[in-house]
Amino acid sequence: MSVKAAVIRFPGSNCDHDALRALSETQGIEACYHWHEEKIPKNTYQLVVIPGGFSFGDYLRAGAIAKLSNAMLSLPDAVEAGAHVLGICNGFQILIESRMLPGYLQVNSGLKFVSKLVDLRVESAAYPWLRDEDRGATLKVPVAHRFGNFQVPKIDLAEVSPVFRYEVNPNGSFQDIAGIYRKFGNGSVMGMMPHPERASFPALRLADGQRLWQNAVRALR
Amino acid sequence: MKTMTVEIRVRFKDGILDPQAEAITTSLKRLDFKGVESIRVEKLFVAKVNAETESQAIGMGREMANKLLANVVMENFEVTVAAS
Repeated sequence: MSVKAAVIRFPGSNCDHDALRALSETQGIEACYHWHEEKIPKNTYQLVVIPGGFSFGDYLRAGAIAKLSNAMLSLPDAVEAGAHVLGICNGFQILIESRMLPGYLQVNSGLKFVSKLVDLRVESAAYPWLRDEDRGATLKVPVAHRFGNFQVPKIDLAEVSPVFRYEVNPNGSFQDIAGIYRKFGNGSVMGMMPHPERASFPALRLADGQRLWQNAVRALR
Repeated sequence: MKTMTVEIRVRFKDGILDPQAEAITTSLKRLDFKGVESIRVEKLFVAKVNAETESQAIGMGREMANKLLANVVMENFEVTVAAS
């Protein structure tokens, strides 16, 4: 049995193709697109990826409009039932706006859009994406964002774990945090600013992101 | 039922760093506005709403802010009915 994965698409998503391809090219994953107007059915997808881009043109605040879509409103139930969600970049912004993850994303401290390769340190396991053995590993992955300066008034480490930290902080985020993870019912929610789906192709000599997809297959199949 | 103008003003909470406001302040100083101590950037939403009373209109404005116009994790808001 393949692991079933969905990539939610919004008007303005632009990393949906990369995400679908990164998932589909992983042996053991069967991935499809999921239009935002449709509810996410329970017990259908084991993995749900919210891709990067500019959903709804980033109007009002990045992610603020997308959180009201049928897909996002139905997502918590699917996660409670066991789905594992990964929000990448704009996907992370949407998860934060929908309060499935804590904190807020402020404009980068340099005020500029930052697009470059960064080194990410894996800080903790995050089932099914990262295992205990991955702790301490460094992944080379691109970032591309203007609102990626993650801040949090207080972080309850019992509930939320910082999964990734930047080796060199590109945006001023709190404690160099690049991604966070929490368990949620029988499933989980992970959000990160960097783009593992863009670093999933050996032909580009940029394939560290594959670790997430391969781990997910190993954990869930 | 009356049509009223509701103004919803959204701003960052105290203590939330606003790099945009800091950059504007620095630029103003560069323009020799030496007396400028700080700048605050706010968003203003002007809504025309139909309501029976002013307090009902304000209630609608507050609900809009809570549900969409403000992210209350990082922003405060203020709702007023504009004089017509």
